[in-house]
Amino acid sequence: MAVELTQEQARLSGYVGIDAVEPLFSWLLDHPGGEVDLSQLDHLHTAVWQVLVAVRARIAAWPDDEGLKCWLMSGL
Amino acid sequence: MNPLLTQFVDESEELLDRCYDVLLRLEKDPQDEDSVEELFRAVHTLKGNSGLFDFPELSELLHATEDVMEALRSARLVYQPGLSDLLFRLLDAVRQGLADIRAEGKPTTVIVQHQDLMVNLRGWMDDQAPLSASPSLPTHERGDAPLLAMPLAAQVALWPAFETADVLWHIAYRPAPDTFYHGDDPLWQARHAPGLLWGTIVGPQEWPDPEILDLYQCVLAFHMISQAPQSEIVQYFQFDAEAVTLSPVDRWKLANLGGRDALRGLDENRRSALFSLLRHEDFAALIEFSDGASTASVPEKWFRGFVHAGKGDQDRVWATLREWAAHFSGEVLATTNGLPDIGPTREETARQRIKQGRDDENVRKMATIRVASEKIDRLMALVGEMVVAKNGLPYLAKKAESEYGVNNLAREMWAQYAAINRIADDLQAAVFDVRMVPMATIFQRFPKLVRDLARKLGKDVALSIVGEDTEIDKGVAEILAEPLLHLIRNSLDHGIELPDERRRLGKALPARLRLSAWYQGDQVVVEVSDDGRGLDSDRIRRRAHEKGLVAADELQRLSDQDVWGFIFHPGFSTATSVSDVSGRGVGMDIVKQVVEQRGGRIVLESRHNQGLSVRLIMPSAMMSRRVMVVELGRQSFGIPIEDVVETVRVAPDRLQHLGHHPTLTLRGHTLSLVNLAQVLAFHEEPRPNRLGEWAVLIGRVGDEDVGFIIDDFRETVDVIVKPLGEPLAHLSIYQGTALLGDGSVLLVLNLKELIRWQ
Amino acid sequence: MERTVLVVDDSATMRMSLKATLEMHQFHVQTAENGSAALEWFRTTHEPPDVVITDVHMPVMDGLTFIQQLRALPQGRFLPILVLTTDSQEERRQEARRLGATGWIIKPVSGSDLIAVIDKVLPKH
Repeated sequence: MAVELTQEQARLSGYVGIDAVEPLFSWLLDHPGGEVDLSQLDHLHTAVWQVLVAVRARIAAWPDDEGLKCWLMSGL
Repeated sequence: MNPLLTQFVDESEELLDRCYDVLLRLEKDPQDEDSVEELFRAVHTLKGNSGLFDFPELSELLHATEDVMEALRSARLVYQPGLSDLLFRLLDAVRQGLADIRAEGKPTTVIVQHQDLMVNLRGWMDDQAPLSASPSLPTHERGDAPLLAMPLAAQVALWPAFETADVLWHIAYRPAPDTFYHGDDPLWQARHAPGLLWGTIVGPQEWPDPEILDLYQCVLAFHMISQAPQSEIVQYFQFDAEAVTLSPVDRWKLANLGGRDALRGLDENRRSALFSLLRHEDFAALIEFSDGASTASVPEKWFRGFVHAGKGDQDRVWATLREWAAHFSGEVLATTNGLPDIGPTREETARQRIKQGRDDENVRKMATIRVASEKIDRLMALVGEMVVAKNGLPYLAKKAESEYGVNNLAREMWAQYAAINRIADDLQAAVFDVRMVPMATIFQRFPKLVRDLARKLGKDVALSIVGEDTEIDKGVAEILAEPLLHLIRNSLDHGIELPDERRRLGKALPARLRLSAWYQGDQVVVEVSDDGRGLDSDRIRRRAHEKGLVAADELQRLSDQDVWGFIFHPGFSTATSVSDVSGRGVGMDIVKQVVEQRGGRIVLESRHNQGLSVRLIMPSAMMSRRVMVVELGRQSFGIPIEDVVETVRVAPDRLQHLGHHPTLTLRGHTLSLVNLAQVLAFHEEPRPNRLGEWAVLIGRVGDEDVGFIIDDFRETVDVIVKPLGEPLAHLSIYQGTALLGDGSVLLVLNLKELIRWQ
Repeated sequence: MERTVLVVDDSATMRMSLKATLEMHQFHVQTAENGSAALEWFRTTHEPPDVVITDVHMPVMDGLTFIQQLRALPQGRFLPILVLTTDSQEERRQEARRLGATGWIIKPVSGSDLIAVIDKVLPKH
């Protein structure tokens, strides 16, 4: 899975599928101040993005992929 | 009016009442499918019936409403507060329209508001170019709202597309909540839509609490602008066609979207140079102008795109420019002064008129605005907090004086406090004022009810309503609805006699039932009175005796007022049969309870065979309350000042003990005493002061004075009493809690319940 | 990374043809000859495929029943499932969608069209 969870950071990279939702969600609840790094991300499943927005996760780095970045930032 | 039309109006009014109820319910619980279903059915029937008559505007409006309902029902449209505002407006218009039909034979109000309401309803429906075969399509929000949020820079990127295409497509993709369970990843699909020029993700207006978030329910919607042909887009989204709506975006729509912002972003010199071009309408000059920007700012780029895309319809470019110019009219008038050729075209005049209409309407809307009641509640809460915070200043001033000895500072603080105090009072009054609604909002539902009930019971009744302008706090008004309903039912069922009986008694027909409201000091009196039988004191006496509420020998000693009071006892009913209108004896005790909970009281006036009047005397506003702070078991409690008769200190030897109950004789009266610490289950005895005296607070409980032994008295303060939260709400011995200036929480006691509890 | 497709079709010819086409486009292909066999495959393997392509009319267990049952398995809840069918009836499509299908492909289909549909429902890794 392209999700790496540490104490300080959740790093999402490549393709992140819907399987990642539950582990990511519990990590976000357990680490309220945790940062999310999307820089290496190619795509994330709608459900995954939804969770990040719903818990108002702190995005430390936006995707390098300009197209994805535009989509994600447009709705905030 | 012919009988069929009468029948239609009657039935429609009934259906409308139901719609109001259901809509209110839906507002509280938007997920309630039953409500949606009920609303749909009611509107459906209304629409069907209206088709029998020649009221095209009414029918069309109801039809459009039905479409919205249908979309809600099939979950293609998500319920939102804005929608219910619109539906309420619509119901109001229809109700007034029905009254118009009664009065003048046609639904004038509906005809007048028809256009506006239709536009609004359609705004929720996005009815253009449906993708699938379904007749109407969903919206999560007003059709264009996501486009309005499109940044100018993103718009710039759309202009070149218009050099080859006449329309772009706005794709609204709102996946069903269960879409993930179909293996869909809507974001992926949206990102790869054909001909994509721009896209945005729209979340719900309110996100659910993360704790209760359903991770696998899709709440996002996607909006895109595509330059692909319609067929290609349809093909691409064929798997989820119901979730997609296409609407064409032509260059003029885009122009309207960003034009004013772009113009505002232009350098002022450039803008006036542009407007001066309007004088000659030389398109080549316009192109040259748009190409000749010295900066590559977004507004310049936008404007250049607009001009180039508009080459094919130069007249319209000029017309659009003139419209914008009108918005910057200050400058424009100066530069275009004395230009004969700028007279508006016919089209423009028409457009102007429409715009003017809108502006007028906007002005009217400004006069009264609808505000969500939660916002007012929030304001109230803030004012409450402010009042409390303000109360912290005297503590501080005292501290400055007593602990730091800076008396001058303390005095200044007192002065400052007085000023803030005044402002806080005014502010509080202003917010309370916002919450005031006329009694008409409650009264208006009763004429129909009275008519229906009277018919059902075979009684001949004329209802009159007086004082419907009387204003009362919205919260108080809301809780009055139910008690009034009970009282009216009682009057109709038990009070007012059948026509035959009235004739026999020589009483007037129709019987009179009056609802009135008036101010009495800072209270509002709401009265239900009738000219029916009145209360039958003897019967109530007998009944009270049967129920064991009073001993036989006491019966005759009781005054009529005392006797009447029995009707408020739970389960007390003198009606011999139980009808489906009233008469289960559950009404009056609830009326009393509800009224007293809100700090009101009830006064009865009855004359045998002449009628009954029930007055509910309510505080007109939810004022802050003055409570006396008392000390008990090292804690502070509040007692509403209106319950406090006096405070005394008594030496222990003045207490007498009659059995278990200590009593106190004060100025010849014997009072029973209550050891508050005991009642509240504190394991401490009351603490006397250094002179060995007990502090006794004499409170009024019902009609009796009772002494409460406490540790000590403290100051009285103004607080806003909030009811206890859910887990403690059943503890009726507390009226609620209040925040003190020093940040501590005060429990405010309910003396009456305390006595009962004891 | 190679994406795995599970092809469910009762015709050996169809399975072979799809396998060849998909492998040409760098897919790893698994096959099953009906819904029941496919479900069995899901129950015994730990690595679910990235996408399922299933026929509708098959003996033992037809495609629609298979979809319904697969959606009930934890591995199958969110999988993209494409229905491959000669049946172009709108009602059938709606039924398939209702039961949990992601999309459908009308047979016969060209290799590039097939890949385009897969790309639409399945993000590239």
